[in-house]
Amino acid sequence: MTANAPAVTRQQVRQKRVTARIGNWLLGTNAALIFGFLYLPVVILIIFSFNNTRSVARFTGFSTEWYVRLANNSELLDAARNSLLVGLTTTIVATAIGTLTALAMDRYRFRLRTAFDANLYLPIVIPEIVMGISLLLFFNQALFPLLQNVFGIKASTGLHTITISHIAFDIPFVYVIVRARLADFDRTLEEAAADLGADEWKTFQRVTLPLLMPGIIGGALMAFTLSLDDYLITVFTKGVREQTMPLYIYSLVRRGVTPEINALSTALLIGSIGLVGLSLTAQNGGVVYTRAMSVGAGLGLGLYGLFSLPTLFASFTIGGLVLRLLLLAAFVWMWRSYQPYREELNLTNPSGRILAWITMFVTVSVVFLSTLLLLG
Amino acid sequence: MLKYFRKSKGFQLSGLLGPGALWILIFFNLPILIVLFISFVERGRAGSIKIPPVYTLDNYVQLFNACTSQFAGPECDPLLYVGIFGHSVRIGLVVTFWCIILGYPLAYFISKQKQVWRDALMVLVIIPFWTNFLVRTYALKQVLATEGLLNSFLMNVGMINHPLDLLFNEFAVNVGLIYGYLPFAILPMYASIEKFDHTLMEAAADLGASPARAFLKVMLPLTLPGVIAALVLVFVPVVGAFITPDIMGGGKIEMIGTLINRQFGVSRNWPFGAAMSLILMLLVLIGVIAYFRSSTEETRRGI
Amino acid sequence: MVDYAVEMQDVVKKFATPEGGMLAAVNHVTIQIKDGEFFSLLGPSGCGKTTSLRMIAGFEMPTEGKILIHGKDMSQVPAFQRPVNTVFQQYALFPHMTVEQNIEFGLEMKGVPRSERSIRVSQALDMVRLPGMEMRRPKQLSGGQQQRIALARALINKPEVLLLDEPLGALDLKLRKEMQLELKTLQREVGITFIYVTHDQEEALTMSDRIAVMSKGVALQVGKPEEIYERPATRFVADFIGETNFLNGVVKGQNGSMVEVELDGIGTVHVESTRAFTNGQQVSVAVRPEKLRLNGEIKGENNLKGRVEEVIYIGTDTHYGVRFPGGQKARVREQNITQDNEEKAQTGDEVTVSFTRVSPRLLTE
Repeated sequence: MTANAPAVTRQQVRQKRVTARIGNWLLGTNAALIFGFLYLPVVILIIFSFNNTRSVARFTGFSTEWYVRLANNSELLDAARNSLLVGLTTTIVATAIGTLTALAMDRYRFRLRTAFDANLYLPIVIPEIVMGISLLLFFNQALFPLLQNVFGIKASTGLHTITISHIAFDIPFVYVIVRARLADFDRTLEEAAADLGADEWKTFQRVTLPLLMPGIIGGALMAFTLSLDDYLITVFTKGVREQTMPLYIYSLVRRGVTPEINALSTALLIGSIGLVGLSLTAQNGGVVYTRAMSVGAGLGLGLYGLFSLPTLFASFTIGGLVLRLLLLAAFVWMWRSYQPYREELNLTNPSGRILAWITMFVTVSVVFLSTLLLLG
Repeated sequence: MLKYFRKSKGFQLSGLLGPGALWILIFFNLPILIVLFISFVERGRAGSIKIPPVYTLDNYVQLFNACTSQFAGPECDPLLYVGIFGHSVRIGLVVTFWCIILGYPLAYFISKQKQVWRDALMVLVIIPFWTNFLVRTYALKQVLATEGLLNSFLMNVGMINHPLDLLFNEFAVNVGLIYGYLPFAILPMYASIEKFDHTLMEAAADLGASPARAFLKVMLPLTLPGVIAALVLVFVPVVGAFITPDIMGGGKIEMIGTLINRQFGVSRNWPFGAAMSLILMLLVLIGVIAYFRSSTEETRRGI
Repeated sequence: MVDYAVEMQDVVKKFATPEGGMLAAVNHVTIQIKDGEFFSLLGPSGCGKTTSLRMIAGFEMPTEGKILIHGKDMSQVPAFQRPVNTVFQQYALFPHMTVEQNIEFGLEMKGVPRSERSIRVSQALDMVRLPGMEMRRPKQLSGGQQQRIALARALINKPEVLLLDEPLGALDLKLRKEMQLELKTLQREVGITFIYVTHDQEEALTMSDRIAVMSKGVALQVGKPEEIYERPATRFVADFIGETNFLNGVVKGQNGSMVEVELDGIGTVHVESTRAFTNGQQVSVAVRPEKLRLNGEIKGENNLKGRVEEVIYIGTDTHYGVRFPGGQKARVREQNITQDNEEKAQTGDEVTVSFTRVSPRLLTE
């Protein structure tokens, strides 16, 4: 191999380095600009929700006036309550069904399996408006006339139809999440359990379910978020009177831009981000985070129970008493989950521990506020 | 009882799959079929359908020739609805284009960072993806409004004298859609780019390829599945979008989504709305099938 | 009639291939494993050894044939009802349970009360020499420790047979050698039948009382390590276990147990064999490198002339690659007894390769 002149001159090398630097700088700026674009409007929204005047352009002073107005807005509180009710019901049903379906599709082979699988992905892909109107048509043109003519039942749309619809579009999301978790699942663990004498049910109970739980919880939280945030499907399946949060916001947004909407949006945003954060943590993190959430949930419910005791003493009802006792039982639940939580904490690294405590704190807030909104 | 459950696979399967299958069939597949049915039925007085149903192709005919509608005036444009469909597709293409152009470098940038930063940045991308679409669109609206921050800033700085009309036009709708769907593009492209073996680029350079050629001949083909996924994940929802054109366009910008919504609201023509929905669904399905075709080919090539 | 610990009776296991056909992973295998013995299933990947083990464990059911455990037909009995326990290749320790909970799992399934369980768990931990580890989590343990916990988890149930699926594969060399010894000692102490799957022939030879060599779903030979090594039944076994030279030729004649073979290009050799051959039959003379002598003519036995092609020095031995006229080759292994280099053959030297009549095997397949 002859080596007369260097293959690349020093100048060329320097040029290459400069172009590489410029390239990196461009990439970095592009990234910064895009993140700015994505987050700036939201940040501005949050900032101006604390403005003490009606402007969304000039920040004149700090005030929580708009939030106070929200708290006193009974129409809004009703809408929030409806959202939570629908959300909770949807989550419980959709998570159960979605998990069962994921287990079925993962573990069994049968004819039409791919067709079923594709069909389960369809609701995610179909434009929401199409799904919305299809349900509108279904309820009004098919189900209700059927119920009327065959059973003589006069049915109408309302929170129940909203819930049914939400469950329908939530099941695929839970399914996808749990299915992904199942794909990563180590089957030899189940074989080991069988080898040690556990039958199918025991194996499911002691090995499969505990290891699947983070995925299930992640899916549940996702279902809850999607239900709370939904506008399009809700608007086509609702009754005449009921409102949910997104519906209420929408009606305000169409009218104009005010800090009150900013405040409401901020509240919803914080809630969404909290829930999404919890869901991601549950899905991708270890057991320590689901334990943290368990502790947080118990604590949140228990705190609400404590918080609402004074009202019990003010006006005594049997139902109220039962409710308060149940809520105080939540403290017991919290206490029981605390031990395993501490055990898991000891096994995590410091940054994981911080995240676990944050998770717990967020869960306490979410549960406490939701129960507060729901039960008043 | 448990013994029988264990023995019969069919029994187990139907127990597990049953609830999900039933729910989706009854509350998803069936309603879609009903849409199909209603699109071939004549409109009744109140806007829903005539009972007993009268079958007709009029709804579809009306899509291609708007003047056949009973409400058509003398100056109607037969291609009105076709135009709106085309308009939506055009907006879809524009938005998809920008999302990919902006998103790909971002995904590339993130993939080059250290692991810790990568996860953090991806969380920042995912959060908008899952949080309330309505709120995010409103956030953009309040910045672009005539009394909003952008206009005030520009006026204060002296660049303009009157507030710009940034809302209630096609520009606003496009920006709003890009704003809303950018994360949808970034995620799949990032997934693809992350799997990409960067040492291949070094190998290309070693063999004499300039960065541009290395990108075109090595990186782009191998990350194409992600780009195609992004394409489908953006284009399909954008074409059928409703919330963004409604809020950012203020009712002045007509897309398929707003048109369909109108049929179930003010215009009171459910069968026509059903027909439009069906055409939209066909467009969607074509897109999805094209995506599946391309992605399975890639996996078959064994990348 | 003595009950064997485990019996595979003409077992066949077929799987559906992606292309649509059926592949026999295990193809008419019959093996009898005695009580208390350390039995290995040895072969390359895909030979059917793991599938056979899984059928004994109960994770797969045979397509044809029977699996008997201590005389009872267990072919269709599900895994959780069989009196056997398995040590898995990746240990399969339950990550969400402590070491104690892992080990006592089998006892818990049987309904053993908690007090008794904890006593037996600490005994089990003592037995695998990891006392005090009860409250740890699997992910906190090293590979070797996890493996021992897996062992404890299986043995605590006092199974009739212990199945081990390449348990030492993930360990480094030194640890592996240590564990081989430990496992062997443990088996002696506990007295349970061990069925051990491995692809490492040295491991199998070291640890086993008997070995079954498998290839492509068939058990080629079953016997003690010495039998397998010194008297391989087929080319595959001879080649898979240790190193073998194959010199090909044709049978010229047979006089009782003495067979005369004409090796292609080399000359005539005489080999002792208990089998009967016909004249003109193609055979391979399979002889191990250590049975060959270089430049040490043995009167009355087989002495062949060849040329040294390469010399490889490996500390304890020197290997010589010898090429015979006609193209056939052989490796000769000589121990480096002396440090005298002058005596050693060099590349290019003409040498004599000698072996006795009883050292080789005559193989036809």
